[in-house]
Amino acid sequence: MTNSTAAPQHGKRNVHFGDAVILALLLLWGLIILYPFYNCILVSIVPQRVYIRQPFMLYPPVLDFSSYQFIFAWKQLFYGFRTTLIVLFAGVPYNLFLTITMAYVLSKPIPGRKAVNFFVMFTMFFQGGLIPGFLLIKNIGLMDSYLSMILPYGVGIMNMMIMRSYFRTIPLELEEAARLDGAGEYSILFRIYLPLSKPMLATITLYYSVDRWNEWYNGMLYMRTVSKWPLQLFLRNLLASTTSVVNQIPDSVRPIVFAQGIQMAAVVVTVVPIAILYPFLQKYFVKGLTLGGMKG
Amino acid sequence: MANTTVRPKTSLTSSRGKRGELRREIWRYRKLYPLLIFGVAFFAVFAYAPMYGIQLAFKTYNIGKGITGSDWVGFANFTKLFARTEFWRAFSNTIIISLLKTVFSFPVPILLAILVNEISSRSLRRGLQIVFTLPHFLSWVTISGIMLNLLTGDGAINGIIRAAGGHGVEFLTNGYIFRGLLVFSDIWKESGWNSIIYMAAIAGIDQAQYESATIDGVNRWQKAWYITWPSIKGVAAVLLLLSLGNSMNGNFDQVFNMYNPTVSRQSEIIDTYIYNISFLQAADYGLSTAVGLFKGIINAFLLLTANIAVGKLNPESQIL
Repeated sequence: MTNSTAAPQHGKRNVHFGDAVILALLLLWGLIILYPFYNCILVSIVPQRVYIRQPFMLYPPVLDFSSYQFIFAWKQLFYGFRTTLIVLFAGVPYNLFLTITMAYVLSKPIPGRKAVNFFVMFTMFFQGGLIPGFLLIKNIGLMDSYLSMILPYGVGIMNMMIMRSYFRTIPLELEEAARLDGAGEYSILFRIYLPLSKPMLATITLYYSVDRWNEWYNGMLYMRTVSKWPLQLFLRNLLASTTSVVNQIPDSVRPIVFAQGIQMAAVVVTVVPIAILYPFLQKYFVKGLTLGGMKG
Repeated sequence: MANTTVRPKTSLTSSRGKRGELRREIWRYRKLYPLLIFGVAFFAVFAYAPMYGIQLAFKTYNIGKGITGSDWVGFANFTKLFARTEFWRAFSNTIIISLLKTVFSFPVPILLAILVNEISSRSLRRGLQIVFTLPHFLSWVTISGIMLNLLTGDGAINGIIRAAGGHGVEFLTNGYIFRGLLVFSDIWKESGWNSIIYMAAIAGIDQAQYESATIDGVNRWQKAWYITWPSIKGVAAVLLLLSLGNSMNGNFDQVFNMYNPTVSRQSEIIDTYIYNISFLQAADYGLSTAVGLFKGIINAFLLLTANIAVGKLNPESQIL
């Protein structure tokens, strides 16, 4: 940069200015994303009198953890965690089993593949609808059973397509070599395809886990017993009507409550597991989208 | 078809080659077919079996008689439905909200991707990406909780507006502002995630193009317009079509968790309407199945059209 005439300097200054504008815009957007979370945490850790006087806070003037004391003393929250974990640990292996078997077979040029593909894809375009689905669960006797939250969510079609495209990228020579060594179909799947697909398996496992963690809809439709509600449904109910939910607690043990504080404390408790794990797992989350996002 | 008896294995490519080849292929993969049973059974039970219940759209549901035994009523459910103003309101709300989302949500991920790509520090880029994509993984239950608390009449945002001397904004009680909130919260939750597809497309651009442009004295905005945008245009077109194809789906999870009776005139969508007439008001399964079928047919038509249009642009992205 020895020949510093006017023009390059001008250009250089422009670049700096542009960089600053871009950075400012992106940081602003980051702030817009993060501020609602920050506000949520603030509301959960201040006493009601502070919140009423000053709903917009930059920092908590007084700390008060009674909202957390309240929700952690609440059995319903633990029931919610229990149900969600049951649904997650039973549901994700079920998702993976169905997705992997289907994706593996459809990744091969087997006769009839097009028909099965159509059979699967058609369901993305047309569904039975709410009541027909509801009556099915009722008629097969799954009402109020954990299975009603586990079984209806089997194959996520996008996940299946991601997995199928990934299987197709694995060189056939590996499979043929194993076959010459006398490996059967199933050991080829388990010994060759699955180990080589670990990153993609991690990705779809995470997608399914998040979906299971966020489960509330089937619980709302099918679960009558409140103590078998998933966490998100408990949260939804709490957000919709804290007063009436809290009133279910017997008068003698019911404290004076700060509804918004309790609601936000419950939100924090359900978000924290994801928010803590997410930054470490982000690369796996992104992989699925970039690898399989636009592929048919 | 004369001699379908035992043939020597070597004659597979003869006159009946195709049939023989098919049979050989099936035989070759015979051990894989059983693996398909599970997935196929899943779709049969949880996607196709409910379709049997669609006949309720033409029946009056009687719990005692069940789906099959209930009495046929022809198109009576549809006649009843089409006479309801609430139905048409939900119908038009669905389209309005979807189109608003398409118009306003659609450009944001593109913009984010282009801007993030301009950041030279790798770790800063990664940090921004983590923040931008995080909300995608939270449920609408959670996000509605956070948003409603923030925007309620005596919440933080109205608190600062009042502190600055302004009047409180009825985010949650004015139906038109609330529609804006539906669009905004959709952008807030999804645009970071959606930008990743564009970032992947940008990452695929040959860097030499940028380098030679720099030598030619092209500034960064011109590079974005003449190099970056043409390379992600195709992806954008596909996503735009898919978004339009989804116009009948107003996002049940979002609306159901965020709205309240004071804004339902402007924000009730077909899916929440179906839920309400099925479970909250006097349940009429025949009527609500009819709404579902009506929506399902239009939805399928839109999705298929979008899918065909996508196939014209980029055959790889066509799924049916």
